[in-house]
Amino acid sequence: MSTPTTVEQDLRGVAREPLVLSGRDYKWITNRICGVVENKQPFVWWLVAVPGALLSLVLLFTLVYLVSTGVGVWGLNQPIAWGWDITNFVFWIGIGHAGTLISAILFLTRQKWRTSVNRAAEAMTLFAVVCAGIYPGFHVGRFWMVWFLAPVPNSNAIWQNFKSPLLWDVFAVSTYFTVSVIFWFIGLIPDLATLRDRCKPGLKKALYGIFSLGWRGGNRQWRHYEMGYLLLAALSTPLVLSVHSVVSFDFATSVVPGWHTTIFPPYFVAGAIFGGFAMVLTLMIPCRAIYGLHDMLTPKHIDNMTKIIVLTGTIVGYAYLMELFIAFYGGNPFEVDAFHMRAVSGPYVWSYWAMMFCNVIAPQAFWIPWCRKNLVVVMCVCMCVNTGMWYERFVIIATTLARDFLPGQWGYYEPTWVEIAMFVGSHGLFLFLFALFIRFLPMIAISEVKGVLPQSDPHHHPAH
Amino acid sequence: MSVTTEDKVKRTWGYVAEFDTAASVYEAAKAMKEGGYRRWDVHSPFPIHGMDGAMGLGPSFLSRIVFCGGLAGSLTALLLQFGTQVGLYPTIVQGKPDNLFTIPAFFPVTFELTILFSAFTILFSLLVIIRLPRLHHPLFESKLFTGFSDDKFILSVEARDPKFAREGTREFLQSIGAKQVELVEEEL
Amino acid sequence: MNEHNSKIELPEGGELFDSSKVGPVKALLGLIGAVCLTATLILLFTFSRNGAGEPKLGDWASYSYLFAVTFFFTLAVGGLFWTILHHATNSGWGIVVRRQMENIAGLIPWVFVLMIPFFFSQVRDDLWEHEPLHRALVAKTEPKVAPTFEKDHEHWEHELAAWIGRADSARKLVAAGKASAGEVAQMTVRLKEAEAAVDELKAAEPTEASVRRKLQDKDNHLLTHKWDMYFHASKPRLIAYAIAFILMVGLLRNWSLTTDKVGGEKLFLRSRYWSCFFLLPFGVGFTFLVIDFLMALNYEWFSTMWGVYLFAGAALNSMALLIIVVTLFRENGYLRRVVSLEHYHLMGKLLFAFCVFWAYIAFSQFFLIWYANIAEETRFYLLRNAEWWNVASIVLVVGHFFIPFVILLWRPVKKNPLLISIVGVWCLLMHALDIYWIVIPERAPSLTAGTTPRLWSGEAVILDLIAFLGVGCTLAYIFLEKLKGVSLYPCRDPRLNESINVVN
Repeated sequence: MSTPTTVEQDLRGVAREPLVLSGRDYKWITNRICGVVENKQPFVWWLVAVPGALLSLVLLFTLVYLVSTGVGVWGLNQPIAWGWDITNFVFWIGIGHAGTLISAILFLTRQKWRTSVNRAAEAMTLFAVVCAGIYPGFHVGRFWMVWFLAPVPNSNAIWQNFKSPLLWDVFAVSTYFTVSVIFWFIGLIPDLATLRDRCKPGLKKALYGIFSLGWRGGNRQWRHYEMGYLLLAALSTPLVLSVHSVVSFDFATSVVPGWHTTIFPPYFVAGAIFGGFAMVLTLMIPCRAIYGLHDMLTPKHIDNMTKIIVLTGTIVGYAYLMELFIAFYGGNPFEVDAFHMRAVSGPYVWSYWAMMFCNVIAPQAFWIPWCRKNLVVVMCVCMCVNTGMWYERFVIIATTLARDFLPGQWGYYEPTWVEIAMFVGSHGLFLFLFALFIRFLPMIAISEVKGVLPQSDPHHHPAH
Repeated sequence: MSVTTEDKVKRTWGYVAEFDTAASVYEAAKAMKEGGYRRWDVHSPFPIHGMDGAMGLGPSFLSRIVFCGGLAGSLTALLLQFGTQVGLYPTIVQGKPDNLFTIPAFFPVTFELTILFSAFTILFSLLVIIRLPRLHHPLFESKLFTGFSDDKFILSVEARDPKFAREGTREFLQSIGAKQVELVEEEL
Repeated sequence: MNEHNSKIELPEGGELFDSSKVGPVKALLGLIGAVCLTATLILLFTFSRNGAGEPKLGDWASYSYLFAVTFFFTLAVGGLFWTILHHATNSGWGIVVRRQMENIAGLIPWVFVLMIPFFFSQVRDDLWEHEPLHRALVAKTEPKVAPTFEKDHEHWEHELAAWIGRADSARKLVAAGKASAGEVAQMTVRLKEAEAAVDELKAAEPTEASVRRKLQDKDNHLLTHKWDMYFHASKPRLIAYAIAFILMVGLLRNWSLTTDKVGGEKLFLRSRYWSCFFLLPFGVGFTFLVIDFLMALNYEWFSTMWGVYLFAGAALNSMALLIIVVTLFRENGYLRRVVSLEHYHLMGKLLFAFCVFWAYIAFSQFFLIWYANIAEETRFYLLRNAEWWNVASIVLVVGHFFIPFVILLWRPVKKNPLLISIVGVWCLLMHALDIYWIVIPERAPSLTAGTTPRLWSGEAVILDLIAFLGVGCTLAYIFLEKLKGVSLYPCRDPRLNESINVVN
């Protein structure tokens, strides 16, 4: 009788890699993460924050111009009534989903490596949803009438049409934003307490103190806190799925060829995760270099995320090909023509192939280990994915609307400078908010990273 | 009339004891439970796996409250949608029925409100259960205590505990491996 | 890393299954399986109407057989999915139950053997009516091809000769040198036109195939869909799926069994490496197999979600089967030292997750079709909500989703082997209903088209039961047979200790 594990064998390939390198201890983690907030920001931070702030002003200007003049300043017209605005909306909301995915799904599946990236990813979620919310809000035309979307009794005694996908959007996006804020805030409480305890008395300490709610880290608090966090994760997971599914319903409940297809909900969700992970890497790889977080954001973390990108990219590719196949199989002439115009003969063929290359072909590089390790390659592919996911939405929206059932309804759409400025401005807003987040809040979840160190296991006995 | 520190009336709140490792505080917690203490807690920078068992605490009951919150959300949403769409102001559009069988169209909103209500239930019931926000607490006066949010593990015992004894408890804490023990007082 | 974890004493060769204890059960399974399967096969091949006419018993039974085989195929292929997933995600928790996943997946070759009847027209023509319809249409077109071709070709020859003549006369005029400059220019243009027309005509010489295509295009949309291109390849495709799936199962199982003997990490790492790649043929193969088998039951029906929908059911119910199998082993005294309640909890959570996933996919598919209300798509759901099928649809919504969802929310259920197994049995019943609901509603309308149309074939339920028992008992017998001489858990897997001590 012997146990298999006592057999002396080389099992290095099977060993779990440490999540924090160089044997860092609790103190180092606290100092390094809090140091980002407490120390003076490096010059690069200003290079991001100042242009970000300026571009946010551009966004503000275009919005004022839009509202004061009317939506005619956009390039939209019949037949293409949805253009860059809805493209950007879906693009940003999709970006947000990876944040929730990292927080929630990876938490539920006990993927402990998430601890190093979840905080920044959640912040990214919130800011992306802020950017996303702007577009449909202003797309309604008369922005001051947006409250019509809320089910409140009004003088006309009219109620909203709850059968409309656009109303589901209102509920889905606002719920998503609210729940993401709650999830993010609850996660932040222990870390705000850490910052509070490190501050000298003063305004800063008071503010961190107020927002940490007087957290004392007692186990009698932790046990409910952990359950609350788990439940929020369990709620956020179907929530992410539902939000992007509802966004996909905006298209798929219609009878328009190219929009009406049953795979849209899971395909949109996979695409959102795909694009979101690329954005997380786009943000975190520079942060890692600038703030010296290499021991917490290890090559293993990047490796895992690139693997998720290749997986979700392939799922997205499956959906693209399934759409083409079913158009062929189903034999509906409108469906066949819609995809023929998308991929072969329509006015936006270039965007279809840009999407195909960026979303399906480029990520396949991550099958090769060398590409997952080389940060330049990783950044290039992530940029491809970021671009590709924008094109995906553009392809779905513009190419479909440009070719309606009757040739008499055909048109071509180009954005005006207002749309372009809004798009660039929303990126500025996103970067500015992210820079503020880095400046004032711990960008890595301190307590969670500490919790995954080997010495955090109460049964751990250091090797002698 | 300023009151100097010396003039303030203070009373003993309890002890805090500092530990260096999760393993040592885990053992100490087991000893505390065996020692019969009841009003005490372990303050750590992160939740320690298995500590609930060591302290003799059962699983959290939060999930049951949240289930009710979620149910309330579903019912609110169904009431809102059926009430307005079927009762108050039937909108007969999109070739959909205006009776019970229009329910698939109501699923998205029902789902979202279920999640929203559940999330709010989690936030507020969590805060009530763990008695936060409480911006001031006698423990914050302790010098040792703030180490809990960095790299120390703090065990606190309240004077209200029936087993508490000014000397006995200090010795007990030291005997179970505390590196330092500090008396915490609160102002009256 | 988990040195501190308790190391329990485990026998070196793992646990072996004592076949002698289950002798009577096995014999009974074998007997029922053999009798029912033989009965079904005899019905399929000797009581077939072979083309037109009133449907006979064997025609009804074709659907029964498809239902039974598909049901067990989804379970077996789900086992393969869980094995691949466990390897590809570098997981550790499920090593102790992975051998049972492999055992379930090990049925895949036998399921493919049971698919052999689908190569024969006695079964095919009943199930996939586009094939006989297509053949009939081709047969209708074929007599017209030869005369039309002759006429077309004659016409083409005339045209060609005329253009060649025009080109020649133009060429002669220019060559004669009697024409004025203006006339030469005119003739040159005409010559070019004529030469182009000649080239074009030569390229477009009518062939029998092009004439056939022209006639078919005029005739019926079944022939214009170019489906024949897809469907004619369905037999070679089935062979390709079989090769791909059998290869994947064979390799993974072989590596796992070899590790039992030699230990070490080499084969573990190899399984992990290849499993990542296996995800691709798995996804593509599964999707197209269920399209060929189930979506094609009604050639007008199509849905891009179809593969995902069937996959969700397969993964969910394979997990349910895994839980039941593990519980049965534990109840009989096996696996008790390695499988703990933590594993049940984990498997229960996966069951729960896929229960929700199935509902999400099923709802999305239904919802989008219900909402858009396009005629060619709604037929699928209209049929399944006609008369009593409506009850089955509602039972599916409640039974396949709401009931297990609410029950699995509670942690004590997931940690109780008996309760979670009962939920597993319930899920399998619902999955059977799901597959039944996909296959059987097509039966009566398809078979009775052209005779007395019927919606429901009540008397054929007994055939469904016989086919189900035949396929199920046979596979259960094979499952027990294959347990011989193989440890019930991967006894020398490098992650075994991690898995035994898993806490979630």
